[in-house]
Amino acid sequence: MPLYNIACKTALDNDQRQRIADVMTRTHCKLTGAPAKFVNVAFMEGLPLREDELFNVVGGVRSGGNRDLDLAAKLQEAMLENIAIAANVSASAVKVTLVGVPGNWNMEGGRVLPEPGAEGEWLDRTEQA
Amino acid sequence: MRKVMCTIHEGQISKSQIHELEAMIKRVYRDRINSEQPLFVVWTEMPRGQGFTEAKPSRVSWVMVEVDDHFDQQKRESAMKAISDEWARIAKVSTGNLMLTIADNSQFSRLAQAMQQRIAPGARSECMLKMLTHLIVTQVSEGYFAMKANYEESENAAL
Repeated sequence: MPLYNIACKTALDNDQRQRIADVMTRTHCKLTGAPAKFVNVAFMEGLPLREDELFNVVGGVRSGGNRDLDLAAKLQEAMLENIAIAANVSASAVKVTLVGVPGNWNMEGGRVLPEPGAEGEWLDRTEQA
Repeated sequence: MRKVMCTIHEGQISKSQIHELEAMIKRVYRDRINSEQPLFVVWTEMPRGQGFTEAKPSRVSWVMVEVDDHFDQQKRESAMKAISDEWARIAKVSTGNLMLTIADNSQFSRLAQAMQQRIAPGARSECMLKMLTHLIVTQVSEGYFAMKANYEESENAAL
């Protein structure tokens, strides 16, 4: 977690996908402080999106901890702008919806995920295990 | 009826493993979550190059399980641990190759609705029909319900 599911109106090539996945991962980590290894991006292509949209992202992201509504809004805006730049499209052609999920509803590496902001200790313990 | 969405990557999990994983998820759900609620498990196989973790080609399977709202956290963690350990054993991967979420119905529905509503209103009926057809076809041919990650261009042309 997060898992960003990005629906695209047309098929992309490998370079386009890599560029978008890079920017989404960087944006998420820069804004939230989460480690890059938590960030997942899935592309679904050729979907008949609304007329004005070329990309539509639905992101399941951890909520709580050090994340508030202000951070969620900033993340949504930055994600939208950066995807538009990476894909070379207008920002109005990108829509991003974020849905918060408590960290402790998730498990990765056999361990319950930490609250946002407590990743350092979690990573230390995971690496020691 | 509660739902389980399993997203795996092309070529990483065999069909026989899918059958075994689905049986395991249903067993854990019955034993640790709810013994009376029927479970609808859907599989999506991501084509190569379409899944990323840490901005690299992903080897992480993504599984989301729906439970009743306000589900007991201790039971949630126990079920997550059981599924995670069994997934690793059956799929012959480390537990690091699974991102598992057991989400309350309200959050699960919010995610599902956001995904459905991004389809253009005029295309939703046909999209839904194609999805249902594919679910039925795969259930008959493979023995499990599956959805496509992509909407084929030939299908778009018909819209």
